[in-house]
Amino acid sequence: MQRPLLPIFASAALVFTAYAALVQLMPFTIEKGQNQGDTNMIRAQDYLANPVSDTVLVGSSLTFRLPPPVLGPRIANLAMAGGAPATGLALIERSNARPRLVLVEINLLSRPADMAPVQSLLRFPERQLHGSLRAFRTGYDPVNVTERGIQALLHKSDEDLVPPPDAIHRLIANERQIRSRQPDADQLRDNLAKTAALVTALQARGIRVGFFEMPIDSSLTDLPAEKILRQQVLQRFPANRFCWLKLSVMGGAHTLDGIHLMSDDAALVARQVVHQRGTCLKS
Amino acid sequence: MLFTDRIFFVLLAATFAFYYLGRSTVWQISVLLIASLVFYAYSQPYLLILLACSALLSTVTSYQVERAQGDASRRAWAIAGVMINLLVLAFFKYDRLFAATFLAPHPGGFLGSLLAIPLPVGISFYTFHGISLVVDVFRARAGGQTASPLGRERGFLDHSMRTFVYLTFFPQLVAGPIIKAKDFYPQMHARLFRDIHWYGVVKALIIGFFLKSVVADNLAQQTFLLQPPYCYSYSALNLAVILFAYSIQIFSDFAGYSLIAIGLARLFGYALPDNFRFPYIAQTFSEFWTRWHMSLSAWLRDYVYYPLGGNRKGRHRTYVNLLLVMTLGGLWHGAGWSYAIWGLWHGTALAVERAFRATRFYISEAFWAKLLRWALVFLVVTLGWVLFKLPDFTQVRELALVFWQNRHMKFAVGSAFQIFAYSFPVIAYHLLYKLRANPPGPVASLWSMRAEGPLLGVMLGVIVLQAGNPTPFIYFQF
Repeated sequence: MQRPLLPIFASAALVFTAYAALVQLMPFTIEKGQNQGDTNMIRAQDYLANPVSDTVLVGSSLTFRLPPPVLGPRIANLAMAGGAPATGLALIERSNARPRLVLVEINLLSRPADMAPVQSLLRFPERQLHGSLRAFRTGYDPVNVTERGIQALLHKSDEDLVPPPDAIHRLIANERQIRSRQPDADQLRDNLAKTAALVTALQARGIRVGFFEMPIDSSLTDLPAEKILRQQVLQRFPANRFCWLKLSVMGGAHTLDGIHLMSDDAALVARQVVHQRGTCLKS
Repeated sequence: MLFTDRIFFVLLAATFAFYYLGRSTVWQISVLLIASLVFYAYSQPYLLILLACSALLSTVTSYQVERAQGDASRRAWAIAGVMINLLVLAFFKYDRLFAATFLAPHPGGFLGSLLAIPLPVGISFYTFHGISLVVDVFRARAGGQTASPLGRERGFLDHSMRTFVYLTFFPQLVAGPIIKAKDFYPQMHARLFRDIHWYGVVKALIIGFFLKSVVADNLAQQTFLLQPPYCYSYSALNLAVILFAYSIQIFSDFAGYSLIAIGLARLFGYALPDNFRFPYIAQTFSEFWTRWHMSLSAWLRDYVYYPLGGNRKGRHRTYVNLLLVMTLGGLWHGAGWSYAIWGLWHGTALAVERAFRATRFYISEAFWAKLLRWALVFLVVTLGWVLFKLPDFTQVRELALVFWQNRHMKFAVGSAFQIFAYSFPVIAYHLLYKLRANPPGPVASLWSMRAEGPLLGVMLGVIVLQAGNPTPFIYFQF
């Protein structure tokens, strides 16, 4: 004799409904995921559901570290940790969002866009579900809600995991080795051409586009990979046609690994973005 | 194609509908064959050529073994069948290892282009199925059995269809469980829709998807941190916790896959063998291998260990056999020396355990002795997984160095909390099983059949709410 399936599906429906109601009525929002990938998704889903910020930052994990509380409600940070600036550009281009200004990090413009997250954010029915029910949004899963709830109760926040000094030296040496090599010229040209096409599409919709370079460890800034990238990006997007922010850290950037800023420096650079974006909006 | 891809569910629905439209064996195995070929060809269609050639060779050799009149001819066809499968495996899986070990690191020309062929998905499984087919038929015939292990067949075409379904059956094509020919062929007959055991199907699929999507996929977001340079930012204690998480992840990933395969096969009326039976409660290494990847253990035992003499040729020969079989088993997992060393690690553990099995440590029934035995097995098994996670020896060395250097770093509570949350169901799964053998009151009632349905429902709800980003099954790479 077959055993009944009803108890299985009835209790599944009950669990889902109860949890969905709970998170829908929860008096706080979730801004951080369990990992950087989830936080990428949370920021992107928040922006797509409510695209009120007039400025959007797109970039990689370097820009991802600029803290949203310092950037304020008018600047959305859609930089993708582990991703590329072109991914954020493609997301804005394919969605119907219309910010006034998009600021593009150049440090990792050599990376191609990753279309998988863009598609998963925009396709049916995911986009509609993300917009209608919190339970379907990244970050509102039981484990993350519990973790954030405990953190809020204990007034704790995530802190930087700073490696020991000799590990930082090894990481910087590793970055130096990577950046001492010439970049793949064809790939760089191809990615810049694709970025240029996305920029043109945004401009055609009346969106201004500006650029910036995130500060990194001073020993890495003038290595061949960085110099060639900077040179080619400036050729494609010259300062007389595009707005460029000038971001720096007095006395040199303090980083976790040569390229990712420590919290204090990230906050400092975020403040520079807030101050300088006005010039891009006016230009 | 992954079991978690949307396109897979489309294929599954179409296959299911067509399968039960017809009521003849030929119709149903034809539908399964077409679905399996589409499933395999979806990502890398050209690898279908290799699968088809390999299946055809296994078909011809097994057919000849089945029909050969003399012992010599039967033996010759059986040897040919086994050798062909081993050569396919050696050529397509171990070519890079051979080249990296004995030739230049990046050879050019024809050799270079041969080495550029990607590892055919599932090759380790379908070649082992091919060997099982030939050997099972040979053993039955050589043993004088009149009934064929392949059941009643009607000529070469019928044998070909059945053999192709056996070798390509999509629920278990890419990562098992490995099913022996003598257990699969007799199942190939017409099925009716009303005979589907829906509860068994749903139960296996829910537990399988729960282990894969909720546990393994979420833990994968933590365990990549074992790799340099990510590990530099974590304390030694955190890294130990992450290593524990990898132990849970690899179990959940593979046991989850196996259960999904078992559930899907049941949907079409086929019974696949269990592949995992609560392996982390094992108190000895030999017990562990009767609970972990059971279908591979049984395959290695029946087709390698016993033919080598097993434990019948003296103590020293037994140790050698154990080391040899486990090293081969390690190499079966991946074409890299680290996998061989992983196998040797387990082989050594089995041999040492065998040498000391008469000591008080192994025969004591005291609680502390059982606990110590369990802890030893779990620790050794977990340390062994490092070689799976980091097949590059320099990375293993680097991780060991970081363990030492970061011993005073601050413990990251958030990461540990997540690992505990996702590991808890697996720990509970093992504990419940352990307690079930001698159930105290409340646990018994929790695990009673009446509670099982609602518990599965809760798991289904959690799958919807807590599934992680889909990651490929770890065993797909083998």
